[in-house]
Amino acid sequence: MNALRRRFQPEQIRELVLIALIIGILIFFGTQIENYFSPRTFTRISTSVAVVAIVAVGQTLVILTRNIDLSVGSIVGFTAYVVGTILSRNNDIPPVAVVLLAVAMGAVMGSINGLLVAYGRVPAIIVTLGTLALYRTILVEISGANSVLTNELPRWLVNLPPVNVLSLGALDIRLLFFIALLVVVIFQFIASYAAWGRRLYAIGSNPDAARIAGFPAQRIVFTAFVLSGALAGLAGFVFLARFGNITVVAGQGVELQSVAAAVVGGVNINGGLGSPFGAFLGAILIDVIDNSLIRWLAISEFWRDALLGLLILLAVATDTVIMNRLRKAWSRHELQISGSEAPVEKGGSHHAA
Amino acid sequence: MQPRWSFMRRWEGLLLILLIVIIAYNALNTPGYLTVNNWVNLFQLSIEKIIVALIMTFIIINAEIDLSVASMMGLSACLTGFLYAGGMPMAGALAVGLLAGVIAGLFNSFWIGIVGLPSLVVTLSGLIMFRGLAYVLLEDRSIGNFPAWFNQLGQQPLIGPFPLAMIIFFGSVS
Repeated sequence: MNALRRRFQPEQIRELVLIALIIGILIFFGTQIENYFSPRTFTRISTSVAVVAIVAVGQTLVILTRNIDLSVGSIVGFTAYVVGTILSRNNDIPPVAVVLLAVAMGAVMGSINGLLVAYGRVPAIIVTLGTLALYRTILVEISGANSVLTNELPRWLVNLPPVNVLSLGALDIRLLFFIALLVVVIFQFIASYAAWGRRLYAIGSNPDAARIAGFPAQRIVFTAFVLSGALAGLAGFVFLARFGNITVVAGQGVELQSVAAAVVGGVNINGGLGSPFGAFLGAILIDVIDNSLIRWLAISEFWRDALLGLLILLAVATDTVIMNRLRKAWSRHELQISGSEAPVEKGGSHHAA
Repeated sequence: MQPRWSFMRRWEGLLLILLIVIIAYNALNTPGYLTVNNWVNLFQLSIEKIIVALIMTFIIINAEIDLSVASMMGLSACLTGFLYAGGMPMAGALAVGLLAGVIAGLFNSFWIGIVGLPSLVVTLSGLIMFRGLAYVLLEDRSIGNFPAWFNQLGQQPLIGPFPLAMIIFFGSVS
């Protein structure tokens, strides 16, 4: 136990706490819903979590720097609609170009946020609340009350959601979920090991110290917003592929879902703590609850939102209480070693036992 | 460095200038903009936001936030309508509706103040939950046919040309 404590910090096993919570919830609904542990449940949840998971990763990068990006819902809707419209007029644009176009559009919208927040020094919540409304209004204006229809889209796009990348036993990893997984893995590595990623944490936990240490704080915050926009653009493409029919309200509410996923996933809303992987787990946790409540026959469908809100709250509360206990246990342990320097190797195990 | 005009450099001053410019623009371009009726109408349309924003100021000054207010408004209104449709007198239903708002607020402050969760998380789940409870109450129905005096409260002038909304506004601002 002592060796274990020395190797891991509470923050590093917070993901394990979340996974335990998810498993607990799965077991509970497994006893309540007939035929719950089936490959279809896995496919359903993994497909529906893809959009929010991708956006939540970008949201995490921004929240780590002690900012917030509320405009992502409009960026998802905007890219899904505009890319869909372009595709329905020219069916033969190559798929790679389509994805790049969606990402680039998101990045441009994200860079407007980034410029205003990092260089204009306007608070992020005000800037992105403004662009949330602005991007949506532009979309409503240019749409002329038309919708993107599935039958006008090229076949390869319509046939994308059921495409399998690989199968683990009976579980199929669908392409859209695979894209989300890829995004999570890439950004988890960047946040953990790349210099740029580590600086996100530095800026978020102490902006003044980061500036005095000579970090290009403005540029890093700007890049975080550009990436959040670019990932929202990618999510817009996934949204388009998944639904096909796109109206001007597409993606509404994704901004709050992504913040909820990040926060449930242990990303500290005041910056400096958390990880893209945690946000991914948060997105899965919320989606599992949401999807299971729909199928739970014990309650009427009208109870769904009331229970979803309550369960998110309870999940965060459980997580916080467990983390606080762990932190206390750890700090007690550290006091013990520093209090009895030399004989700690012999007497230390005695104490712990 | 002129003290008399220094307030103009603050945010409130800038907002005041913006407001005057917008009103002037509208007054010049829209006939009937400066009539009493139009202004009464403007206040009636925004009174809920004014009441909520006034109190939200105190929350944001404390570096917290409450995202659940719109859902609370919905829940309180739905509960009032639900009770009235169930046979409760309107005055009682209104009191319970107000009480529901207090309880929802207490619920938030329990998790924020006593358990110590971030207000953004608590009120984000509150946003989903209170709206969800409103669904539980009304399902897919809608409720109307309130007593005449209650309908008039919102739509008819109460003192001179001013309806209740405007009186509440000046009462709560001062």
